[in-house]
Amino acid sequence: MSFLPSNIEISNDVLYILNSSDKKNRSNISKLGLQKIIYLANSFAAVKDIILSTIRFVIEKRGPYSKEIQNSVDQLVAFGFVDIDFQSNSNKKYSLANYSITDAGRIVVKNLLLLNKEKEKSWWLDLTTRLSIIYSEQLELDEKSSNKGLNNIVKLVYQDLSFIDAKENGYFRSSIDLKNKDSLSFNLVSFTKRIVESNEKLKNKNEYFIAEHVVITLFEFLYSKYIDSKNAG
Amino acid sequence: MNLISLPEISEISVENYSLFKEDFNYKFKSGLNLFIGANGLGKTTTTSLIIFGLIGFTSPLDKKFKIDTDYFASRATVDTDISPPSVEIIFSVKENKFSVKRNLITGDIIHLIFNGSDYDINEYDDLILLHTNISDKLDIAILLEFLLIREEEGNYLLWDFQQQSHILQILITDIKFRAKYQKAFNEFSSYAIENNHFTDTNLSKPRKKLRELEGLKEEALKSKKSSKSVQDLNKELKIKIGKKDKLISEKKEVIKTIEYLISTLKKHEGDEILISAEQSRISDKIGDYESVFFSGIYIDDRTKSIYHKLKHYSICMFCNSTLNKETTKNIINKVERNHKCPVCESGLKKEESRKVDVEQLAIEINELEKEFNALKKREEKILEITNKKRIEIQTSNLNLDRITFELNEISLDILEIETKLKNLTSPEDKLTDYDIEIRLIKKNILFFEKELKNRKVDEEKLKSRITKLNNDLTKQVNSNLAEINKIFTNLSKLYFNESCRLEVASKKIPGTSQVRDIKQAYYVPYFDEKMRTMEKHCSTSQRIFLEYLFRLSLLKFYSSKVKFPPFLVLETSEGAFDLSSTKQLGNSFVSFKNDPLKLILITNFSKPDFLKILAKGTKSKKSILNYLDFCRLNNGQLEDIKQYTQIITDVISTK
Repeated sequence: MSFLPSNIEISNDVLYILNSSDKKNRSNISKLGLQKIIYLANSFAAVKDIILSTIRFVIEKRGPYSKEIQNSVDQLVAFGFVDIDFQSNSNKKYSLANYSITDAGRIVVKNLLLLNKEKEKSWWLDLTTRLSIIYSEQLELDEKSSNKGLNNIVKLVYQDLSFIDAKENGYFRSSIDLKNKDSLSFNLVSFTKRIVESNEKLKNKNEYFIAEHVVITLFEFLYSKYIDSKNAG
Repeated sequence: MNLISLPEISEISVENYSLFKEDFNYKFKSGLNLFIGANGLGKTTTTSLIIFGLIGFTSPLDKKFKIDTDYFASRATVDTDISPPSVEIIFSVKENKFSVKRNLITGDIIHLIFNGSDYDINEYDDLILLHTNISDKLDIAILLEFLLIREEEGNYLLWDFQQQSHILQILITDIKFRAKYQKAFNEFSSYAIENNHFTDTNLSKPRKKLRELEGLKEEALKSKKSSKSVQDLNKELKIKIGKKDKLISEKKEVIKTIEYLISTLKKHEGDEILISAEQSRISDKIGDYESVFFSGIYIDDRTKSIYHKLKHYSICMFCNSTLNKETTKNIINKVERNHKCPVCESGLKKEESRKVDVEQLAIEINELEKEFNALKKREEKILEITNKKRIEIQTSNLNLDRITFELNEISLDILEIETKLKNLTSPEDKLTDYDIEIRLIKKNILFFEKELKNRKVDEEKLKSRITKLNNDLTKQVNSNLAEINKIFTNLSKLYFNESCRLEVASKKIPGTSQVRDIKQAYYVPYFDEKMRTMEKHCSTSQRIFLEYLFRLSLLKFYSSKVKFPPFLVLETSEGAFDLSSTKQLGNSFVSFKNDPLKLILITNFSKPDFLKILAKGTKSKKSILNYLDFCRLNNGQLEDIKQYTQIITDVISTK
């Protein structure tokens, strides 16, 4: 008997993120957080030419959103690879769903990592997840923040150049093209990569190490922008 | 063979001629006749008087003759009151006797007696020509002036080959020959001259004119098309063609390069296709493996354990109730035998129940992945090469385009230049003002060339006629040689030189080119093993001696052929002779004492011994004419008169 998800790649990505969070003892990841981590992972994918499945993000009320991701998560929950935990917010107007990986999910991840390709993807999503957690916690400290935990990552996503570009030039629910090599995000990544790679200290370091530096720089960039925008009003 | 008949002189009478003191008359005797006189007494005039008496003034017949119309008038004062000075010659031609008296001043015949009867003086010329059988009065004059009568400083027949040939033509050939020969010769030479004139007028001059016109035409053409620009264009054309050739070879090179690049590119593209095919094969395989892999992974062990619970413990997977064995068996059969879902009875996929070894599969996928990446790297490398080649091809193609463009440009330029050149040398440009005239002249030349060709044929006919006659003459001269030599060598042996004889030589006639290759035969003396073809080959005495012997031989030969012997007048030139040769000369004349030929010798007093020898040859006193008897002596001569008289007395006394 099999429970094969309709989109294995996205399901894999979701499991990797939840697994990463699990390892970090952050057992829950919000619906919003999951969307934004995958968005950032896709937006920065050019750092290491990571080939992620093409996900169609559209501009929603709270940043970029993909229906495909939500479908996959729902399937994984149904098949018992992911657990769902509802939490009512402080106003109790609506409940927030948090997700965590199950044992069956952990076994799936364990087996997936047998493939080198999947290992790399896993590393990439793990990196994005970890940094997202770190910056979310940082952002949560913001006095005005009404968000909890990973939801704060949305503040950084709002600073993403592709998102801004799509938002300014597009319309509600218009899609964001993350694979466009002429996009501002893509150019930013290339530029950042060049700057980081030219650092003498990083010479002779392995490519994953360098890639991590580039991603950190990119997160720092988004964060700086967020700070700037916050200060600007 | 019929020969001409030479006149035989019998008597000369001179009247009223003031050169002489008194009239005189002499009757010629057969054999030797001796005329003796001092210088300046009229000895030479006597020879002229004989010629004049026979045919009148000779100079009007031909300028080479000396007896012109005032010959006699200039030598004496003429008294118009008395009867005119005259000479009367009595001579015979064969049996016919002529007596002709002429006025020395006017040259008119005063009276003519032919065979005893008075004749119309106007008939004289016809009569004499008729009876001598000589065709022309000029020929008679030639015979008299150059053969029968020789003055002291007279001509040399032996070395004047034209004169001699002329005389031979008249004297030793058939009577009509000279006339035929002369006619043919004249016709031929005049026709040749006419043809020359014809060529000159109708061909040479027009040809010269044509050359001039063609030169002018060329000049006109030159200035018309300004040859400089043609030259420049040709130069330009040459350069352009050179460039074109260079471009063509360059194009060939580029095409060769492109072909080479394309062939290597094709090879790499072939590799590329193979690699991408391999890639897609591997990628497909990976896809297949992954789908098995993923489906193997996403199997929930819990579902297995639920089914296990039913199969082995007959406990319901949903509500944990214990089922009877029959129900359990039915459900298990549904799944395992009929491959149907126990709940909805949908068909189950058979392989799903198969246990998947994900670890092994992962290894294989990773291997395939590695292989795929390696191929990708190779593909990238090849792509790099093919891109490079494509760029090279593109560059070469651009170069080819450039060359082709330049070639087209240059071809157009060449076409333009060629058109210009063609226009510059088109037929219309070759027309000049001279063309019509040139065409006309050419046409005329062509016509006259044709005409000349016909004329040349006629000329050749005439030429062959004269050549034939000339050959006849040569034959005659040759056939007579033996006989004449018999006489000549006899005389020569006795009085001149033992080895001397005559030989036949031939010379081209000077004159127009047309007659120049006709050779006339004549006699030349030969002695001491040398042919004496020129006067200077002999000394003066030898020359004179040979001349006398030749004339005598010729006339003796002639006399042997005819019934009536002629006469010969020689004014001797023994002054140049030394003693022995004078004697020899004298003796040679003496040998003619009994000859039928009338030999008249005119001498002076310079060599009395010579006169004495000669006197032996005379038959009587009457054979001697003494000029002292009737001539006027000058003062010097009057002083010597006693000596002269003594010599005459001595000479006559030998008789």
